[in-house]
Amino acid sequence: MLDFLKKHQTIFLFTSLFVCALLVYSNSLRQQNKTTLFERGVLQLTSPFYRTLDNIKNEVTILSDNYLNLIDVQQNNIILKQRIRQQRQQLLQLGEVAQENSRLRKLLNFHDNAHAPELPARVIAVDASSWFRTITIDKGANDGLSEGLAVVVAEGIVGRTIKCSSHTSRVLLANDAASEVSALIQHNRTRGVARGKGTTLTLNYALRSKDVQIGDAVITAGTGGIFPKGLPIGTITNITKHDYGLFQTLEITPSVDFSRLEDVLVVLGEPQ
Amino acid sequence: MKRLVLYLIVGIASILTQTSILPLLFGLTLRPDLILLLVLYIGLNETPLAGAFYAWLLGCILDVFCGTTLGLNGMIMLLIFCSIYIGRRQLNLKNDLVLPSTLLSLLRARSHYNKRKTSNQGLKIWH
Repeated sequence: MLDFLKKHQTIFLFTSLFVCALLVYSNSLRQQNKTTLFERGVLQLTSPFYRTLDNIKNEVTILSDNYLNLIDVQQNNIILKQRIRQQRQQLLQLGEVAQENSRLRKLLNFHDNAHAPELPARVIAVDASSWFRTITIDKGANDGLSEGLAVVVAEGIVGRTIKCSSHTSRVLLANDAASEVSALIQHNRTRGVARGKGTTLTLNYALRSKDVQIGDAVITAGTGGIFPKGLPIGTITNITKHDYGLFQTLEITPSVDFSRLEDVLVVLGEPQ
Repeated sequence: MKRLVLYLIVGIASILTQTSILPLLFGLTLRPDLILLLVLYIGLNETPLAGAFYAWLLGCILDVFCGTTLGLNGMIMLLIFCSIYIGRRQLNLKNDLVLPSTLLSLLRARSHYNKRKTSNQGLKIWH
């Protein structure tokens, strides 16, 4: 028996130790909510080290946050991003001003070339329905406007005033179906009437015998009593010749983008 | 006694490092078990009675900082010590690769245990 115990003493020792450890564990399982003396002692013993380590850790963390991790750079980045956003907004505003400036310069240039009394006006509204093509400008009878005045931009004709109140006027655009402008083809002086067709215009009553090419410029004829002579209307983009008849129908793409009108000139009188 | 104090100092320092410094360096993704290394060393170098006590004590100290029940890690460390002590007869202790290879196999066993433990607690931590 003793020989057996001596032979397997290590196993017995480990088994007994394991049973002891198991007993300690099972005992502590019953007192899970209590802090034992051993635990309290170990925690007490290690707390100064933890505090020291925590202080060091904090110092290192602060140091790394401030210098190594470049938290200031991150803050600067946030501020700079905000600044970029603000400056982008300013840039957009400046772009807007630049475009407005460009438009006004063109208008002034046009004004210089035309030598006619004109009044600049700003488009303040568009037609309430999609059936008609009219705009409202911020100048009216008090500014010397009346019905039947030509409204132009640097690119060409816009339309004519149809209603005037004291401070605002409504302008019938040249592409409205009710609009008719006396026109002529620039290179061969073929006369016709440019009538609005929604997005484009048609040049009616152009003689069939006249040689017209796609791309020819169409200008105002100056015979209708509204528009001065020589203002661009658009370019011919389609030619329709019927088998018989005196006239040909020409489609004109207007030189003015009516959907982007912002500033216009109202021609108050005949060119000087 | 000297050895006990030495192991206690090294053990507590290991636990301090393991619980306070290493998480700063590796985050929660990697937590080297330094007490396991110490138990491995004890298992390869100490006598059965003293070594078992050291291993159990170190495990219990680890329990103070880990989990809620005192004695669980003590029991585990004791088992690990016993396994190493029994297995060390099969090892050539003069070979330099003994410690790393034993450590590797132990780490695998330990990580398996930790995974089961953390999965029971609903934690997703790699050990």
